[in-house]
Amino acid sequence: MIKQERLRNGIALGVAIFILFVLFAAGMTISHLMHGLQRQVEYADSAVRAQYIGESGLNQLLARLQAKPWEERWFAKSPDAASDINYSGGSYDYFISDSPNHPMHVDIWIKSNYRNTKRFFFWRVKFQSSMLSGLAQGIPVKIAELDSSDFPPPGTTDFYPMTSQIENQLETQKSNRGPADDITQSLRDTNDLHQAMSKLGGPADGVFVAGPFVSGIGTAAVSLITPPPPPPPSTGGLAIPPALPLTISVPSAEAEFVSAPLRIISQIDDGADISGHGWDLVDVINNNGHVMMPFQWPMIHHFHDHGFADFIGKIMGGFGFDDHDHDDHDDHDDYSGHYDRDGHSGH
Amino acid sequence: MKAPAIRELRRAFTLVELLIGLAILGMLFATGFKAWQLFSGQQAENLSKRLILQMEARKAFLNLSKQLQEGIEIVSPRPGTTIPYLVFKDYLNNVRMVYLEEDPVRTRSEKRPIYRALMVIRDSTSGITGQPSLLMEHVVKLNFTSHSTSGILVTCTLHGGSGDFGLINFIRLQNSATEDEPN
Repeated sequence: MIKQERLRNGIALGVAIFILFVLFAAGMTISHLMHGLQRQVEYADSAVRAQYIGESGLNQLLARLQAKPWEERWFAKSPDAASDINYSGGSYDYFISDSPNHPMHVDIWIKSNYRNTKRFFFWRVKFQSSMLSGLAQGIPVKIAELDSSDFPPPGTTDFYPMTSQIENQLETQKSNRGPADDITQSLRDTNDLHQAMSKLGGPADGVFVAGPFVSGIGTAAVSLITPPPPPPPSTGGLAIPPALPLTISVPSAEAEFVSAPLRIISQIDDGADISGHGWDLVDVINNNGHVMMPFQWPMIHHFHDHGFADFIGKIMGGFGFDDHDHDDHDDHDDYSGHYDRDGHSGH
Repeated sequence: MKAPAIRELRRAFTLVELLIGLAILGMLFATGFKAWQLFSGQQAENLSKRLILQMEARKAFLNLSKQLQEGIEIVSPRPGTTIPYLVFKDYLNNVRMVYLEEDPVRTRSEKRPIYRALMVIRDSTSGITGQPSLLMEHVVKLNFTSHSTSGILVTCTLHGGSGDFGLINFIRLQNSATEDEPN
């Protein structure tokens, strides 16, 4: 009898150990499976948060800069820098100075930190002189992300090596503009990959995909899936590409109005300018250096009735402008297309 | 006096106890077998292939996104069109093209068209177009849709393991104001 009792105890222990082992294996399996995924999510999350912290830093600096007239900016005499500014669970360091040799341009360098992720951004922001300083808007004319290890240690006030690097890039960009425009003008005229490849001087052999993929069907020879909106904004002297086969035709009298999306910030030859960014804020029109008189305001009602672009088109047409757009709904994306004040610029 | 105690020791499990025990053991065995199958067999290979491919694809996508974000202008597709290749001017005004080329080996093994995404860069200073560099493999579909010259929608389907997965991203060019604004 005693033997039987001992045997039973042995089985119970074995079963218990086996169950524990299986449970442990299952736990390890799930943990292993989740670990890789968790690391990916954490990495992506940190990268995005670091970016937002950097962009928030930029917005804080721009807000401070725009709070006073340009002449009273706090870094006018010497650059300003600060480190470890806590923000949203992370921190950022910044360096701000006037752009060398570029009046009314600001260089902003920000390194953001979130947990172990560090990101280093550069913005060159151009400011327009404005009758009302509060309406002056900064337009980023150069944005770059650099290696975070390149950010100088705290206390450094000389960013010249990095600024010269940016200057070199801009110089190269400027000198390359002509050749790039030449080749891209011909590339714009085709949606055929083989032709584009030939014009670009790329490899001629190989099996390329020439038509867009259509869901569930494979490739299709259709190259145009929707009628195109008005042509893109001018990129500096480039001719507007010819109309596409399925382009919505517009009466020739109005064709001028769709030549390019409206850009309100435009220099006038005599130095005066029309400034405005938020469409709802444009309530003052600098009329060739003179403030628009009250009797002229009915034109604003015309804007409400017939579209802002039409209204501005008529005004600017009087000044010899050619930047008009018939479609005011898309205009809002003009500069905000380049720069979102919230800093969340499409990524 | 000892007889009742001996009888108690000899009493076996009831049928219900046995059934419950067997059910628990069966579930544990099934779980263990599935886990073992997952991490040692074909499924493990497929899963790890897929995870690695997803990570690599994401890296490649981020790389492309970064280059595009620093770019100046989308050249092709024209606004309102969708095509399977992309031409853009990068931050130095070099012209870059991303396109798909069939991968003959994978097409044969998968018995369906599988592509590689490649990029060529034309140096605007020298006018020389370099050799294509590999951006992504295992591509099933890749479309670029443009609504303006300053942004591009990228939709991509990749084949990994035993299935396909898709990536979609709208990339906005941050330096598109650079050339418009005289410095």
